[in-house]
Amino acid sequence: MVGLFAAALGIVVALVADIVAARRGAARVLAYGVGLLSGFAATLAAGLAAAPAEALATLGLAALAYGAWWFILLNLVQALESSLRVRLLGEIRAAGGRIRRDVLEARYSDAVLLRLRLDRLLSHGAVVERDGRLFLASRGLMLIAAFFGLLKKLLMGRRSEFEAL
Amino acid sequence: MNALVVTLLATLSGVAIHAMILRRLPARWRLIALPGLLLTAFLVTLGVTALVVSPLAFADAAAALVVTLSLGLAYAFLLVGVLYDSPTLALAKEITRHGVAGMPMAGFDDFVARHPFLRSRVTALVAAGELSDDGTELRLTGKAFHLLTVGDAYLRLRGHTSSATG
Repeated sequence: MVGLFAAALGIVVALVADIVAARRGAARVLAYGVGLLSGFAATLAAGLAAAPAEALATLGLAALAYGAWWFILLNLVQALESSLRVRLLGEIRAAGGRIRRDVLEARYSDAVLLRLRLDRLLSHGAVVERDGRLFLASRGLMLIAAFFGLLKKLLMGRRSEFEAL
Repeated sequence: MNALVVTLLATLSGVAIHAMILRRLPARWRLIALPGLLLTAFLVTLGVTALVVSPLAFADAAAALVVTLSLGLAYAFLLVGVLYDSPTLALAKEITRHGVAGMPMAGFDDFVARHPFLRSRVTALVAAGELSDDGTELRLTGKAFHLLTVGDAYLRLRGHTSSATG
């Protein structure tokens, strides 16, 4: 149980560090990294201080709990920032809890939302356009896309939710 | 140490069984089935540990259960990215698919037509009970949107001006 308290302390430290880093102008990934490492250090320190006699077991459980909670929080924050589902819920909430389908579809057509993402990738340099053709320039994005493609193939037997089985 | 071992064994076996049966599960059961599988795996592992080694103290068993379910929830978040395409990653994959020749801009409309994200997300929200759909109007019916308030507060603390960017 000591490990869980250590992990909870670590999460609080991670959140505070993330907020401080973001407010000081750190790039998004850097702020997440600062939060992750600060929280992990706090988790280990608290685990060692509270239960030095069974340090390995306590630290192991604390590290697992901290890792899981941090990953869950990262996903929640990422979803708040860029998830289409969250955006749709926010839009309907802002419209008073109900919205006509045609109004929503006009505002969030697939063409609009995919163009928005393409423009964002182009402006960040992750995608470049040459002679009317698009090229992926970000190795990180390439790796993440390949990773999820592999997971989809392994778990679902297809590479996209829109691909017929 | 036993609590750590129980946690690892229960999580790995629960997730492995879930991954193996995932394709055979109906769409709405793919995420819902996970907590039940993890809990079953945890109880079996706890029982075997008690018989073979020694029973865990209540506090250790409770901690192991919390961490097992936490790891399961982390896996569930990863699974959402597997079950549903990310628009950005779908675009990246489509560009990569064209290899060194690059994706022609003229092919963008065809890509859009093959990826009806809005319909997919609305269907998922309706299936999860977060929205109701009478064919012409969508209504909030779930509780998840309350999380937006907490999320907005956190993003404001980080210095953002609005929650989601589309």
